[in-house]
Amino acid sequence: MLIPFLKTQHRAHGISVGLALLVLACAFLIFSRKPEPLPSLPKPPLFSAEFPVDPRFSREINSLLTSQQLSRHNHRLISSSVMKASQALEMPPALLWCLLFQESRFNHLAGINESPIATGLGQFSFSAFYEINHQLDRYLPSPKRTLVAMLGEDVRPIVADAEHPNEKHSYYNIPTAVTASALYLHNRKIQLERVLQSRNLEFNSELIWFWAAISYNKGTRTVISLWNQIQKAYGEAGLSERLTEPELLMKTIEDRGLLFSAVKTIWQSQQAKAFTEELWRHSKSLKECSLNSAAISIKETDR
Amino acid sequence: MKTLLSKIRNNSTAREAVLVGGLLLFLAIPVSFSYFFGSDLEIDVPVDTESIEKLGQIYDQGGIESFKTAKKSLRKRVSLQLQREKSDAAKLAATHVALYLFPDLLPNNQLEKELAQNLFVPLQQNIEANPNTASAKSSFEELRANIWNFEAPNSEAPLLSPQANQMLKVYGGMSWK
Repeated sequence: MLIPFLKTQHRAHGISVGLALLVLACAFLIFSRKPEPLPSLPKPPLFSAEFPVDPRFSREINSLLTSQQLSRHNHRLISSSVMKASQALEMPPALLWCLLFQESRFNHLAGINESPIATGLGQFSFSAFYEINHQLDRYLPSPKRTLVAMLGEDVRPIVADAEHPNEKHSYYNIPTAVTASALYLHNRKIQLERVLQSRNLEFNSELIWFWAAISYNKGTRTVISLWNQIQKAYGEAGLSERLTEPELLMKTIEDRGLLFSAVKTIWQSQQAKAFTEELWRHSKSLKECSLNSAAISIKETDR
Repeated sequence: MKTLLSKIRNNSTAREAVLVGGLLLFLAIPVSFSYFFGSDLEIDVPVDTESIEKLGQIYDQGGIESFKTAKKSLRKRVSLQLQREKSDAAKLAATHVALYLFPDLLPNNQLEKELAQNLFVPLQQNIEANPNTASAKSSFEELRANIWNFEAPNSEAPLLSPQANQMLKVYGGMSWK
């Protein structure tokens, strides 16, 4: 009678020890497994889909509309032309919209009676007209087809025709001005990218749009001088980082000392100071008007 | 030797001849030096913002061949100044001239090198090859537009850098007469 009882007791003991070992083994297996990496959040686009980003620009637009310095019709026409041109040239509409606003406060007739060097919605100069009328094939595979897609026809030569401001070939015609300005901005981007490609430098194409807008206003030479200075200060790898990481781009354009060191390689000290200030203000406005704040502050909050 | 010297001392004609010979020799040394090493001496003239303007003056006075010779000489000076000069200001002056006339001399890490070679050099070469022709005029118009699109620092008060302005004046002079 006693032996079977002992046997049963031993068996039960063995089973409980076995179960305990099994639980331990399972626990070991569970806890020793490396945690699955969390799926990384998609990086937000650099340029905001909603624009202008900073409400002060909307307030300014409202004030222009209220004071009738800008008609509602022209405002709508500018916005729809911006969307159309951006789509055709695959550029961020926020950047084009903000650039044009900054250039002329959406006054498409700016300078029409003054014969200044720069005129109209995108403050076009004779050299910008020359590029659009004679050099588009350097930047587009088929300029004619692109212009037809954007404006319905190839309206070149585009000129600042003050006598016929509403004609399609006139830069004072809103869709023509938006298209020509978008093309000029697009060309600046292609030009800058070719400079980087010729040196095999890594870059983020989205960021180059921002540099292209600076080049539109301040000249390609200014942008390249700034890149030369960055390279001098941080090396080739440092330059590539600043052409790839949005938050480093922001630090660069906020660094007045760096901007000045670049500008003074071209201009005399007094002019260099004035141009540095303009460059800084221009970049700041573009940033506040067009950039997605989530895209430019990710790493700063992580740090 | 001693007798020869004493003869010269005692003979006034011989003394004068030696004196004149000595003076001639004294003059001959710098003249022959500048004749044989003249171009090397010119190389040491520093390059500055007025170097391009001087090229224009040479074209006005001596025509295209003189211009080409002077440009070749300026190229040597720019090249040497870029390589040897230790002062930042002198190097920068040479860089400015190189950018608008000899971009191939710019160091490879200057990012504007290739762009300048494409934007300016072929047009300048065409103007130099066909001065005062319709072709030169057309190249000059393109050159002017390229320069303005490259610099254009301020749409409210547009101006070009002194070197860009000087270069345009020189090539404008070759295209519009």
